[in-house]
Amino acid sequence: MNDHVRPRGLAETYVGSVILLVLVIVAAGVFVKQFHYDRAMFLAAAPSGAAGKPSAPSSSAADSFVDLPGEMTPLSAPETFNPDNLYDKIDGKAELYLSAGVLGMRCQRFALKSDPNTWMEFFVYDMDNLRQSFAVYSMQRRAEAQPLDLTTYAYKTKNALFFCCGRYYIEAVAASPAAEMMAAMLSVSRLFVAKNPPQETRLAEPDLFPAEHLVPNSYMFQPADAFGFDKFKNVFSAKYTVNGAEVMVFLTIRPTAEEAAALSAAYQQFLLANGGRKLPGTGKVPAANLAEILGSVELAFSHGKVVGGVHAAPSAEAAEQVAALLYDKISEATK
Amino acid sequence: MTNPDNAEAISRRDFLARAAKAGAAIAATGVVGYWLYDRTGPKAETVTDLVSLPDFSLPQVGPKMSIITGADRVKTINRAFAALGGIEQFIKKGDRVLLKVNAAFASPPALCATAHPQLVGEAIRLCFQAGAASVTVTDNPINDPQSCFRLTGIAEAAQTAGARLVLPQENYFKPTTVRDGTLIKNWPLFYEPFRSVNKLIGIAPVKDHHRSGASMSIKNWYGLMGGRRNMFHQDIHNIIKELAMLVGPTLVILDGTTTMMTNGPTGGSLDDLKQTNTMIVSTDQVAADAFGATLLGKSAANLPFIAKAAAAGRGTADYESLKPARDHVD
Repeated sequence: MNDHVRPRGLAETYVGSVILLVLVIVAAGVFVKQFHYDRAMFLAAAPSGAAGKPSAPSSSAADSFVDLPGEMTPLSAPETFNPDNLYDKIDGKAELYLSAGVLGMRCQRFALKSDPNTWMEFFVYDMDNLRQSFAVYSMQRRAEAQPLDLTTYAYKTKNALFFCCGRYYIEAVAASPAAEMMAAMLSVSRLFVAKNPPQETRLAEPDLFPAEHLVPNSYMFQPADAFGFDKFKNVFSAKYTVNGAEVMVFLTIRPTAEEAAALSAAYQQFLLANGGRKLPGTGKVPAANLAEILGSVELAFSHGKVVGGVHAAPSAEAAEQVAALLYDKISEATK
Repeated sequence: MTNPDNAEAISRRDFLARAAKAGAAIAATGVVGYWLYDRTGPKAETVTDLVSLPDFSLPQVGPKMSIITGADRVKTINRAFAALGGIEQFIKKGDRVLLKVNAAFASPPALCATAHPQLVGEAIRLCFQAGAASVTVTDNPINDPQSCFRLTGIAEAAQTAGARLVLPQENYFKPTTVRDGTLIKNWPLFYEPFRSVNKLIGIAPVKDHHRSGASMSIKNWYGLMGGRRNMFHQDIHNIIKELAMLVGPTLVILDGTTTMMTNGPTGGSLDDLKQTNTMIVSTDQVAADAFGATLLGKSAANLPFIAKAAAAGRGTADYESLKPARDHVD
């Protein structure tokens, strides 16, 4: 029988022994480790104390994620957030960006080299396209804003500046108002625009609003659920002052005239279904639907592919007066 | 394909012996595996693992509230306590006081997105003046804790006034469940700062909030939650109600000196702010928030969480029923 057994070489024995030794070590490791089972490692859905918190930015000088003018230096490391953890930076305000389709956000604090206590934070939201960056820009526009010649949609306040740069919505917020810091923030912003030249610079819809009675720079874009109506998507609006009262004029463009007419009718049905009362029109605006609800008047019409209207007017007369201006402007623009 | 020259010839006896050895090895492995097998798996959190906060309110003091107007936080907070009979009504000699401040964001004091450091410092000083043995300042901020406490100025204010600062760490959280709640169940609570205190004061600014309409005294307790708490934003009014059910403070200080009227809770521009020059101190957090709503140009009815917290028995939305002490300081 032994004649049939192949003799084992020394190398074979050595390799076999090493493999067995490794297996014994692995088994011992598994045996010891199972006494130190960390439940948190395996319960992905289970909440833990500091879960989801971004890492602490360094307070020392770090790389900058945007080009800086010579007078500025990073005060912290760049931070990056996505739609899942944007709440970790801006809490409840994340909802505004999420509903507008934010893809991500980067931010970083910078200080003046001459005075490290004078600092600002630079936020860059990637909103995917100009329309969506305009949405968050317009919904947060400050009443005391001063226009800025940075991009088509840009303004500044005492301590901050806000602008759209194509798909990006940018905020530069200083810790306190200071002329030197404002100049530095403008420099950073201009460098950003130069490095990220926008493909789109202007939206078409604001040009459809009539200039008469318009409250300057009051344009707003709501991507969804405008005025609580779930079918109102991509709605532009602007404020108007009529006979001392403020009303909101709106419009949205649909793919076809038929869809626009159906949407105008659906809005009227929505109002009536929610306690509204149909009002007769004077014919000032062709095929306008008017309804009184909660003490104010709503008006909607369609003209070609455009649905236009007035929201929360104090009276039917005021609604029709400003709606007629909108109708004429749309007629002129779509000739 | 097997090369016949290399094939190892094996006898039947040898084959059976080897097969028996292999079988024994497999069987032994199975026995060891069976011996080590944990049929029950890892233990789930049991009721005994849960913690709950003690009630820090002072029933003997009863519901009290003061509303003081003025631009100087130090003056208004002092007058607010004086109007209630002095801070000694609430803080006794030897008390160990926890101040839960709003330090949610790494934001400068000028933007008023967080508790103002001047107010925090004065509150600490008043507690020590009343004889407090210790004062601890804490929060579990939205942003990085160190940056938040440093940039808001709260860390410096606390240290200057002699308070201890407790920043969140992973092992400082314990699971909690709100009795009769539906949202806070077995959820990590920032519990460590509560271990050795017997009084609790909340300090929060009055702010607009994109989701809930307002962030004030009750919403401030959100900073005690750990985990992926942002999911609570989907049911914001009920989570604020449950926060009121979770925490029974000794009193709250609601700072309406400068109110964030728009773009809350982070703000960003000084244009989001309005000087409303009001300081509120109340043992009833619901009443404090109901009054705070008026500083935002709203009423309690506009903020559903107030009615919900009141319905849960955590206070009253009718703050006038507390007959608040009113005064003004220049």
